[in-house]
Amino acid sequence: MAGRVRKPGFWTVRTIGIAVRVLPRGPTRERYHREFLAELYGLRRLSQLHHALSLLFRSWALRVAIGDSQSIPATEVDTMIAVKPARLMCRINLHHRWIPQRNPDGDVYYRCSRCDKDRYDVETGDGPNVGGNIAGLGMSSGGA
Amino acid sequence: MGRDPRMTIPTQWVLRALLEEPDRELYGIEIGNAADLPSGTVHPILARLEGLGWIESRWEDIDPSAEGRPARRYYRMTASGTEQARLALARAYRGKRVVALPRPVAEH
Repeated sequence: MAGRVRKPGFWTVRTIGIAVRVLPRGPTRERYHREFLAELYGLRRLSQLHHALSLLFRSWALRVAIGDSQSIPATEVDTMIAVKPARLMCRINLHHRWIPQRNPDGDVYYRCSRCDKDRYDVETGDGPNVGGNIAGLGMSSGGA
Repeated sequence: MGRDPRMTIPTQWVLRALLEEPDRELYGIEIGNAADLPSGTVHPILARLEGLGWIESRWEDIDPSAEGRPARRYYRMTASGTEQARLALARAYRGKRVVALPRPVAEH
């Protein structure tokens, strides 16, 4: 039967919580949060605080080290490059730059050259900036 | 597996602490105590070494309610990491040595 283990104090736990805030959200942050708290058990109060403050002051170094060490597979890198960051005007759907594309069936659709959003109803004139931003392929926007 | 980490003095101390007993598992504070470094310095080094595959980590297999504390994260050297770490430490040490041998005098 294990003896009584000294639990971490309230402020020490809060300090650890702040220290891990700079880490990437998700499993990484949870792992280190759990790990740092576990290390506190059994230490004296002053040592706990010293430990927590040390982690807090070097939390950005840990963030950088985690960032450097997380290798991204080549396939994911290609995917990341292919996904364009959405511009503000695209996000609020005010100004897309529609470029006509053809799907494997030969049908025409339009894709925004900025955010890669697709539209299939451009011919009907729905949506903003339909006429002005279409780079024509010799097709009229109103007909079938 | 990858490039070597920057062999700063703290990194060397952490590696030496782990290489004393490569098969032994240590958690963060134990490594810090062995290397005489604070935890805030140790954990970024451990993260980098783990990313390179020189060390591996796992959660302690205990019953937290029975032990009265949560499971700790234990680290230990991998087989390839042990070899690479020893080579890297040897290179780092060799790089610091100043070798000043007198040039041989050519005999006429």
